[in-house]
Amino acid sequence: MRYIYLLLLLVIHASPAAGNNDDQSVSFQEFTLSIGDRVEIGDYRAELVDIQSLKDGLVVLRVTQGSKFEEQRVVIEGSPNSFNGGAEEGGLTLTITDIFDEESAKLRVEYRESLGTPRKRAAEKREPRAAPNLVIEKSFDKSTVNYGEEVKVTVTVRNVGTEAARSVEVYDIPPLAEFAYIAGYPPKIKSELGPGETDSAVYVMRAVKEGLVKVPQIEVRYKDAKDRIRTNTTESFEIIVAPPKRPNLIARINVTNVTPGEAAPIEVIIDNTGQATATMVEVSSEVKPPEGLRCTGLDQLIPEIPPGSAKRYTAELRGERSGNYTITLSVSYRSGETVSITKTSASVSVLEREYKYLYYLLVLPLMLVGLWVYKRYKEYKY
Amino acid sequence: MLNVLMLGVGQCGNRILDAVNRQAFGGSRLAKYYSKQRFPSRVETIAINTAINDLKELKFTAAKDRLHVPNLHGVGANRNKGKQGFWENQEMILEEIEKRGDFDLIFVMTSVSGGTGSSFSPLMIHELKKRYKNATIVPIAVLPFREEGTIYLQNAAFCLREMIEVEADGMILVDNQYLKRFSGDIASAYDRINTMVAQRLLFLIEALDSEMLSVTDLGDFKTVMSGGLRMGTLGYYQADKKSPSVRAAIKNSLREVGLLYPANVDAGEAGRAMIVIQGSREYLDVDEITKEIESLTETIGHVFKGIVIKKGEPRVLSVLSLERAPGLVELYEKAKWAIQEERERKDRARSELYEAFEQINDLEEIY
Ligand SMILES: Nc1nc2c(ncn2[C@@H]2O[C@H](COP(=O)(O)OP(=O)(O)O)[C@@H](O)[C@H]2O)c(=O)[nH]1
Repeated sequence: MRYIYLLLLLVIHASPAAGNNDDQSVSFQEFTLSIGDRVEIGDYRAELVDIQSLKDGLVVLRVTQGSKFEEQRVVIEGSPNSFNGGAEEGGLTLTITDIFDEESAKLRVEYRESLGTPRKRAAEKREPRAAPNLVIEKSFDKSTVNYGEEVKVTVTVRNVGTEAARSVEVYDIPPLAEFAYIAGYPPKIKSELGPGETDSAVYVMRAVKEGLVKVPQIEVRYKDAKDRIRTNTTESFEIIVAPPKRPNLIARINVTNVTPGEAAPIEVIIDNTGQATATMVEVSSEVKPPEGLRCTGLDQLIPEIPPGSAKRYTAELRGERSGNYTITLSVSYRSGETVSITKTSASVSVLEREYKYLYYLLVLPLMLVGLWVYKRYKEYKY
Repeated sequence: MLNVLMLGVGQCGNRILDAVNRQAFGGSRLAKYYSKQRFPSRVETIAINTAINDLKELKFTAAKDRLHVPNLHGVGANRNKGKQGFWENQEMILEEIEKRGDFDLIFVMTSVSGGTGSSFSPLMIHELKKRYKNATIVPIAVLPFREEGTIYLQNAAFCLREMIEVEADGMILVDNQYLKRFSGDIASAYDRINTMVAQRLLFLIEALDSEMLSVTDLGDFKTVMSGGLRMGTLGYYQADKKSPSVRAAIKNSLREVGLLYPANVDAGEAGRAMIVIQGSREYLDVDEITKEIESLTETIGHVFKGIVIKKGEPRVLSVLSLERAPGLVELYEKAKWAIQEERERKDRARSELYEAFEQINDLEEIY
C-alpha cells in the first residue's frame, strides 16, 4: 500500500519534472543506516539520530544544510517527510522505509539531481548504545515437594544492561492454586536497579495439592532512561507435588507360650518404616479373653519415633489359667495434625500343666508290679 | 481231668499242704508273688486247724484256703477234746469243703500223733465218705519220732486204728522217725519230709491224670491201696544224666531208702504195687521196663505199671501196699508200754500224794 502510494507520489512529482529542465528533476536512493550514520548530498546532511520505538515505527532524523538549515524530527515509518521544502523545492524528502532493529533502519532519500550524488558516511566512532537489561529468574529451593511441605521461592532480578532500570516491577502472577502462600508474597524488588545490580525476593509457600504443577512465566517490567518500557520473563517450568511424607509404624509382638503360674517376657517392637517422625506414640493393649492371662508393662507412651528407627521394650505376661489368648496392641501416633492407628495382635497359649508321661511310663509298670505283689501278699496273708 | 481235694489237718498236715502249694508254684520261695500255681489236675487245697498260729505260719496256701476251727481252750494233744471240737464245728467244716465242688480223689494229710489232726482226720474221713460216695479217700498219715513222748505214741496208736476202722481207701504212711536221718535239726527235717511228700503226691496225681502209654488210673491206685494191710507208702527215684537206666531207677524207687515208710520189698513186705515211670522217650525202653516189672512180680503180688512220656531223665514213683508192717507192730508195743507206764506213773504219783494227805488226816488248822 505504502508502495502504491509512493508510486503515485512519484508520478505526481515526476511529471512536472519531466516537463522542466534536467536540473529540476528529482531522484532517490536508499541507504541502510545505523544510528549516527548519515547521508551527504550537496551541502545537505541527513543523520539517523535514534530509533525511538521499534514497535511504533518512530525514528529520529536530523537534517542540516551547512549553517543555513537544521531540523531534527521524529518521523514515523513509511511516511515521507519534507525537510527544507522537500526534494521539489530543492530540499530533501526522507522516508524510513524499514526499521531493522533498535540500531538500524532503511532510509530513502529523495533529492534534486542537481545537488549531486548522495553518499553514506558512517559515524566516526560507534559508541555502544546504553540501555538497561533486566534478567529475571524464579527458583524453588527443592526439586520435589511433598504435600504439606514448605517451599522457599526465590525471585532474582539482575540488571545485565549498561544503564539503570527504573520503575522495576515484578509480576509473579497468578498465585498458584496448588500452594498456600505463607510469607513474602508477592515478591518485592527494588524499583531501581543500576547496571550490574541484582536484587532478589524470597517468599514461602506450602504445597496443598498433590500432582503436577505448571509454574508459569513471570515478568519483570522496567523503564529505561528514555522512559521506554521494557519487559523480560522467566522460563516456565513444572514441579511435582508428591504425596505427603508420613510416618508408618509397624508393631510386632514376640511371645512364648507359658504354663499356669509361669511368667515370660513379651517383646514389643515398633518400627517406623515411613519418612516422617511419628510423635506421641501411644500403645494400649487388650487381652482376650480378659481373664486367665495377665500382662504388665504393655501400655506405653513414646514421645517420638524418627523415621527408619524402631522402639523396643519388654513387658511381662503371666499365665493364670490354661487356654488360648489374643493380645492386641493399638498403636496410635501423630504426624503433624494427622493421627493414625495401627494394630497388631499375637496369640499365646497358657498350656495345660505338662505332665511327665515318660516318668509315668516308668512308674506305671512298677506300680502294677507293686499292686500285683500286694494283691498276692493279701491273698496269702492269713 | 481229675478233681482232687487235698486237706491238711493239724500243724503237720497244714505244713505238708503248704509244701504241696509251694511245689505247685515250682518250689521257689517268691514264686507266689509273680507266678501261677500249676497243678496237674483241678486241685483244691484246704488247711484246717484249731490253732490259728499254725495257720498263720503257712506261706504258700491262699488265705481263703485256710480254715480255722475255733476251739475255746485249744486241743493240746488231747484227742478227746479234739473230737469234741470237730463235732461242734463239723457242719461249718464240711460246708466249707463242699463249696469246692465234687471230687474224685481226696487226700487227708495229718500227723497221727498230734491233737487236732489225729482226732479230726478219722471223723472227717467218716463224714467225707458219706458225702463223697464215689471219691477215693486216702489219708496221708505221718508217724511221730519215737522219742517224742508217750502221749504222741498213744495218740498214733489210737488214731491209726480209727483210720482203719473208718474204712478209708487205704492209707499212705510217712514215718518221721525213719526220714529224720536226712537232716540234722528238726525244722529242716520237717521241710525235707514235707517236700518229699508233696512232690510224690503231685507226681501221683499227674500220673493218674495223664494219658499213659501203659494205663494206670484211679481204679488201679485204689486196687493197690486196698491190698494187704490197706496201708501203703510211696517210693521215688530220679535217675541222673550219668546213669539214666530205667531199670535201675525202678529198682531204686523200691529200695527202703526211697520209701516214705520203711518196708522191705525184697522180703515180701509189699503186697501190691503201682510203678509210674516218667521220662524222655529215649530212656524209656518198654522191653526193659517190662522185664523189670516182671522181675518185681516175683516178690510183689501184683504190679501195675504206667509210663508217662515227659522230657527228662527217668523218674519213677512206686505206690506200695504193705503185706506186713513189723515197724507198726513195734510202735503198738511201744504205745502199749507207754500207756501202761503212764498209768502206773499216774497211780504211783497219786498214791504218794494220798500217803502224804494221810499225815494230816487227824489234824486241823490252827490259827
Ligand atoms: N513230717 C512232719 N511232721 C510234723 C510236722 N510238724 C509236726 N509234725 C509231727 O506231727 C506230730 C505233732 O502233730 P501236730 O500236727 O503238730 O499236732 P496237731 O496240730 O495238734 O494235729 C509230731 O509227731 C511231729 O513230729 C511237719 O511239718 N512235718
